[in-house]
Amino acid sequence: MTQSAPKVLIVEDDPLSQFMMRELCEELGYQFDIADNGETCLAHLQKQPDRYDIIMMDIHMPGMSGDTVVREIRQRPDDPPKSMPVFAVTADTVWHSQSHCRNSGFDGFLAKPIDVEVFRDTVRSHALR
Amino acid sequence: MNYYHQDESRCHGTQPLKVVQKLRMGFIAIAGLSLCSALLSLIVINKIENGHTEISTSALPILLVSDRISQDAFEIAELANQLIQADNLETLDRISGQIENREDDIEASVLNLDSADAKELFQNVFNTLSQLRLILQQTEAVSRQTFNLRTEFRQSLELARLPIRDLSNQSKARQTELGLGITHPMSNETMDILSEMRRQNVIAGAIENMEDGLDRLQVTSLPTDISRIQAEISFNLQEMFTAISRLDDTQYGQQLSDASIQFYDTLQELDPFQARLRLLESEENKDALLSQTLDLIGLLKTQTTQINEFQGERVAALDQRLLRLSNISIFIMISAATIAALVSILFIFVVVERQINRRLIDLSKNVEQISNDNLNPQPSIPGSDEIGKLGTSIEKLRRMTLQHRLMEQKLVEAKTEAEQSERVKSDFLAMMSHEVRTPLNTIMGLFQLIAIGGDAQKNAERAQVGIRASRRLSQQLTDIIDMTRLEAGSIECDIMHLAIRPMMASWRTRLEARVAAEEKPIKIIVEINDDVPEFVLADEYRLDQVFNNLMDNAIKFTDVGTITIGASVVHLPHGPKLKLFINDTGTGISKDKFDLVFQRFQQEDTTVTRKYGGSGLGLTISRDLCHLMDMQLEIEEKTGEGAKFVIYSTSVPREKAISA
Repeated sequence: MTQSAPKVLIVEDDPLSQFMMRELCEELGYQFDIADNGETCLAHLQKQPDRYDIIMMDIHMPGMSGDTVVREIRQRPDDPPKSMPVFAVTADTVWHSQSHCRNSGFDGFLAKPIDVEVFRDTVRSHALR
Repeated sequence: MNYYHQDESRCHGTQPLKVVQKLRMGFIAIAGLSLCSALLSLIVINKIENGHTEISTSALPILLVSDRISQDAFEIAELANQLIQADNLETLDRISGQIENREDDIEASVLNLDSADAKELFQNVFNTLSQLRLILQQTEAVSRQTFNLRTEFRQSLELARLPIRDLSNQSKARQTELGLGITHPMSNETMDILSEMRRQNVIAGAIENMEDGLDRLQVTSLPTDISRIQAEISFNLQEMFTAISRLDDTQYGQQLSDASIQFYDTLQELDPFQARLRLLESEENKDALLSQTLDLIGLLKTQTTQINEFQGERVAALDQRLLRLSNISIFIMISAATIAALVSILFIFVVVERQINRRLIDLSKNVEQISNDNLNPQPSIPGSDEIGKLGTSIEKLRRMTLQHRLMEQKLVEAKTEAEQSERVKSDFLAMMSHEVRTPLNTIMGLFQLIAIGGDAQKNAERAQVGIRASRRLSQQLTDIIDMTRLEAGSIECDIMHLAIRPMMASWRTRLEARVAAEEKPIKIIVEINDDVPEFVLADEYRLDQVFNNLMDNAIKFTDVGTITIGASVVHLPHGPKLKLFINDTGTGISKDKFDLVFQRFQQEDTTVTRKYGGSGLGLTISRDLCHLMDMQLEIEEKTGEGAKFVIYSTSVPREKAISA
């Protein structure tokens, strides 16, 4: 179980949301790291390019915004791999659009408030292939 | 508007343009002027023609009179000749009467003239005429004398004829007597008787001749004839005397002789008559009179001719003058017509230029300016006619357009504002949605996890965080509602005296608690000057809300350092003001964003909101609440890091006046 546990990188600036995400990943038995902002996220990826199976990215953050970070990720040669799934996790309805997310380099989105089942299904279908 | 235009156009449809009316009036005036000048010229010409007629009519009688005088003079000359030749009283009277008639005629003609110039000339004629009259009277007198003499002469002749007739009768009686005495043809006695008869025949012949002479004397009037006839009679008388002396019968002879002597005496008595008649009827006398008459008549003719010539000259001169006058009048007429034409051309030019052309150019310039979007005031078009009205209308249009333009600008501004406001609202809604969803996300996520499972301790922890998220959500919703109520103006303030120092102390406690909760190394300081009054006039709940917002803001943007809250008094030119402030050492706000910070739904950096949460309505709400409490919320410029928000209150209670 632990061997096959998906490794999730959560990028979230809101402390209350961070707490909830942490609880959620623990509850679902995922391995996870939490990045406070985009810069931290990129630092994690640089340090351990192959560690994560999926990235859950908030959009509105101080400093680098989520879409800027994903653009940065996609521009790197293979570090992390281009196939790395990155999902927009946001309360902003603008991002609640598959095409909008894909055009910005995301693989999809998770709307806040997060549905636990949807979160689990998304991680399962993208991280455990 | 539409109706008014229709009405206007209908009015104009039935009336000629005022400009045209002006032109028309001008033309009428010109026509009147031309007519007047033509009339004037006609009057002048008429006057001239009248003058001409007058001169002609005044000259004509003179000419007629002089002609008549000439004619009369001719007739008088003829009559004078007749007068001289007249052989009886009747003829004389008739001719004399005729001459007098002519003379009266001339005199009347001359007197009828009223020409002074002519009168002088006619005076000469008068003089000549009176001379002529004198001569003619002389002639008449001579004729009368002659005639009287002749009558006397004839009477004398009749007297002379008596003895002759007596002689003739005696002679005839004697012859008869002698004829009776012849008894025997060839006797001596008979011979004697025959001789006597022969002598008697001579006597009878002489008597016959004398009778014949007397008959001729009776008829003739020429003195020469008379003399010749007298000589013949004398000769016959002589012969008779000779015959008488030879007569046999002495008694008879004596009788004859006596009768002859008587006849001779009577004949002798004719001589003085004859001498006088001769004198009167002498050729010289008559010729002199006649030639004098003729001379005078010649003079008269000359004088009348002079008059005629003078009149002719005068008439010619007058005609010359008339011709000149007529030329002048024609010149005046042509000049008047030319001047009228020039004046009319000038008038039309002036009217067209000033009334139409220039104003139309101005008008077109104005219209062009307007069409080129230049709506600045333009020179006005003078006049109350159609062009002037058009100018006024265009000016109205310009003003209307300007007003419309201004209105349009306002509308565009309003539209832009509305659009911006709409966009801002839409953005606000989106943001609100986001801001509401964010705590809701935590709440819902945690509830799901609690529902899934987990031990009691873990779930309690989850519930605690969920409660915090719920508070945040509640705050968000309160802000939104406050904002909406402020916008609608439905928040009412309950202004009262608030004790400043206790209020500051409670805020400090709250600040410290929050800083502690945030686990930020921030020191809290309170600074209240001594001159700060005890109270401030404000609504307690709202002022608390404002300070809560400001304190949240300060904590949000400050990670480390100090947050100072306090009060002071500032002395401004128009009076002292109470100043409440909160000063932090956080991120700070650049000066150019001071205004932006207070704008609705704005924060300096949208991402800042994410970091520190909040709706971004806090400052806007605070500012509006301050305004509602007659206070001003401002950001004070400061050196160094952080931001300083200040609240000025002008309504300081008098009884708690600042002790300077």
